[in-house]
Amino acid sequence: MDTGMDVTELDGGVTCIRLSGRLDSPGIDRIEVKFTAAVVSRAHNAVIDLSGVDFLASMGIRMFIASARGLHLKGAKMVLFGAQPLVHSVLEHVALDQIIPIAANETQALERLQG
Amino acid sequence: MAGAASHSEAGDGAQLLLTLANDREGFDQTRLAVLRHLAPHGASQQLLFKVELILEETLMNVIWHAFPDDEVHPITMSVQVEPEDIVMHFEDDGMAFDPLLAPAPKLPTSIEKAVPGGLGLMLVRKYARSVAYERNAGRNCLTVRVART
Repeated sequence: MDTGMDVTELDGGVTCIRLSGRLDSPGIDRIEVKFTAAVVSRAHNAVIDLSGVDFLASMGIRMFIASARGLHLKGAKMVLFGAQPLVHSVLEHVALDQIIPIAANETQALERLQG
Repeated sequence: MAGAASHSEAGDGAQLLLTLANDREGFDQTRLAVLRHLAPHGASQQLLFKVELILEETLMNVIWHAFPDDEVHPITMSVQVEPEDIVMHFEDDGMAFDPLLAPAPKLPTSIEKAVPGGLGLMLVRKYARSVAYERNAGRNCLTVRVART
């Protein structure tokens, strides 16, 4: 499955990005510029829906860290949510939740933005 | 060679041999060839995920870091299905690099301190049953075993 990215704006100006397919090197090559622009340039709180992602490698994690840090420097926050079990296990192995909040679903992700 | 992953199969069908160039163009073809090879062996979704992750992280590490020049270098690899393990073997003539000697990345405690690097090799070590390295005749030789169950 190709890598996909859909950007919407939720209530309160929160950026919501729904990713799908493979977040490996070829996939990140295709979306990284658009992803960074959508998250960091807007400088609004962002929630990232991973429920449609079926593969995640370190290139994808690097993209999340870079964007979350860019957003942090602008005073906003990013939360990941909805990861499938195999994708979630990668996030756990690198302890990503130490630096980027990870939520089970969109409702919880939006709550974490308030925390 | 650039952009074209070629492969040949051994007689018993249990081993796949591949050669790819040190660019990123041939990566997807290599990945798909490995998946085709494993398809008849009843690999679970979880096992395929592990194999794909190790393939991506290992090959990208070689492609990004092994060659200081701009020349084309072949990377050879094999995938062997054994009763207990899937065995992936990688060889390249790049700079000597033993991933087992690389220090584990320090996991960041805050987004300010996060340095996004070194995660790929850490994932390989987490998902593999074993990783073995030797430098042989000027080549990096890496063998990664992944448990089938």
